[in-house]
Amino acid sequence: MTYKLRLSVFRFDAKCDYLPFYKKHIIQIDGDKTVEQLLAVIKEEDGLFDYPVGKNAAIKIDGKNLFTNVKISNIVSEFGKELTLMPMSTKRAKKDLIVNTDDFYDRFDLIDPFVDSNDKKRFDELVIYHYASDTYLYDDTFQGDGLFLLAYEMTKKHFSQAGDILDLIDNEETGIWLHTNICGKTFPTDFTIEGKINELKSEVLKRRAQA
Amino acid sequence: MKKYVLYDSIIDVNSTSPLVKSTNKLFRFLNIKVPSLKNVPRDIGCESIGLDENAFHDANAKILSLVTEAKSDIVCAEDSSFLSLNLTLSKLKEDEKFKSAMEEKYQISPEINILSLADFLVNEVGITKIKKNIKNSFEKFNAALYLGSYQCQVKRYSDNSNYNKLLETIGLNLVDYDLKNQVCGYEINDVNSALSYKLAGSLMLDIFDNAADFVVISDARSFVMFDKHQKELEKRVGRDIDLSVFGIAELLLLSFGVVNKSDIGLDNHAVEVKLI
Repeated sequence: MTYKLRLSVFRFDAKCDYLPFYKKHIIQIDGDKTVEQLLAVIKEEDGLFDYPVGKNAAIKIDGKNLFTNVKISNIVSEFGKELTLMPMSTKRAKKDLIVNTDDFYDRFDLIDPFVDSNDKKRFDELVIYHYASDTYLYDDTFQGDGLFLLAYEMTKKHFSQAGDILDLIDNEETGIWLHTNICGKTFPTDFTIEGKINELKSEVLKRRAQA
Repeated sequence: MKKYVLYDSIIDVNSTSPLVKSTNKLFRFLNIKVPSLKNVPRDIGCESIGLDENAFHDANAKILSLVTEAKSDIVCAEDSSFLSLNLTLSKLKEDEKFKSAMEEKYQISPEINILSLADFLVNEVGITKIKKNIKNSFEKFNAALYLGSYQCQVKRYSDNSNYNKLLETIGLNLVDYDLKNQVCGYEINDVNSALSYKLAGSLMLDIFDNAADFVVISDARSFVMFDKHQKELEKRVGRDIDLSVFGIAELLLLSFGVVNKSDIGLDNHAVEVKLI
């Protein structure tokens, strides 16, 4: 099935722009195509447009962060045919839909001493959660939900390091206690996330009690 | 109509009493018998699960056992308690170990229906009955509807659009605003009040800048942040907000012509209600 999409696409070049603007596009696209293929069509219409590519490429559509391998038919059934395409974080926008993810990878450096280098691949897949948080939006020192979700998995995988990982996120200035609900801020919605964060908080409290 | 009880032992009773008072008044006005559950644990909000999951579910299981005993279904005065009770009922249905542990303490029917106030008013009372009672239309007013930080989870158990239906019934014009899905900050208020006020304050400014005359909330946590803490929000964002905050029952009563502030609980708002 082919859809006629009306798009507002965020445009900004950190090198030369002071403010962003939104460019309108009307694009016909097959529902079996992906968001990444939609972005390629926009690029064909406007050669100056840039977007993230690769395995964990992600953008924000109508307020929800998502990977660009999602099918257009799924996007239309969730958001309709009028869409606003933005980078995952406007304040980290580098060029159009591409964000500077240095701050995200700085978080991996925090947990790096307690995990394997292979675990970074898993961390890459959590980028949409880092930029989904409202806490992060107003406090960029916040450790972030990408780190917490990795910590959740790593406390089970590297059991001997669990204590150090829990200590790392048990920080009232920047850590897990500043987590705010991110349910519904990513697509597809993952209803298990808040449960994982709650479980981590319980583990942190148990560790405090043992200390 | 089925037999219902009202759960109105909601969070932060000192600040949220208008939501309780107006819901009870609304049921009396509509001549609907929905007695309040007495001597039950107060809602502690699902954000407390991470602090003590057992205490959270145990308190809710106790409430559900009382509802079972009363052979009733339950209506919640607002959505924080609605979500709390639904989370525990879901856990009882899905977690055999938890179910067995609770069965040793409580008798709970898995068939209990937990209704949000909006679902109850639309599906059980009916829009027709509500329409019949309207004396004052809100058609000259613009309002912003905020469905709370946990609207994503609430949506699993309830039809969020029922709030819109009720507000449209009384003629209210709803404004759209960018930050409608942003959290209100309640869950981190104890840990970092400055940040929580920044979250709630930016939300309220967005509502203000979209020309809303007031805010309608569905969750007591948002009422606490937007009404009780409005002065702190103003300080944090550096601008006056001065927006009244209402629950759905308060607005319906105003629309029905009940204008005595203390009857509805409007005299207990932190931000003075100037609509009347």
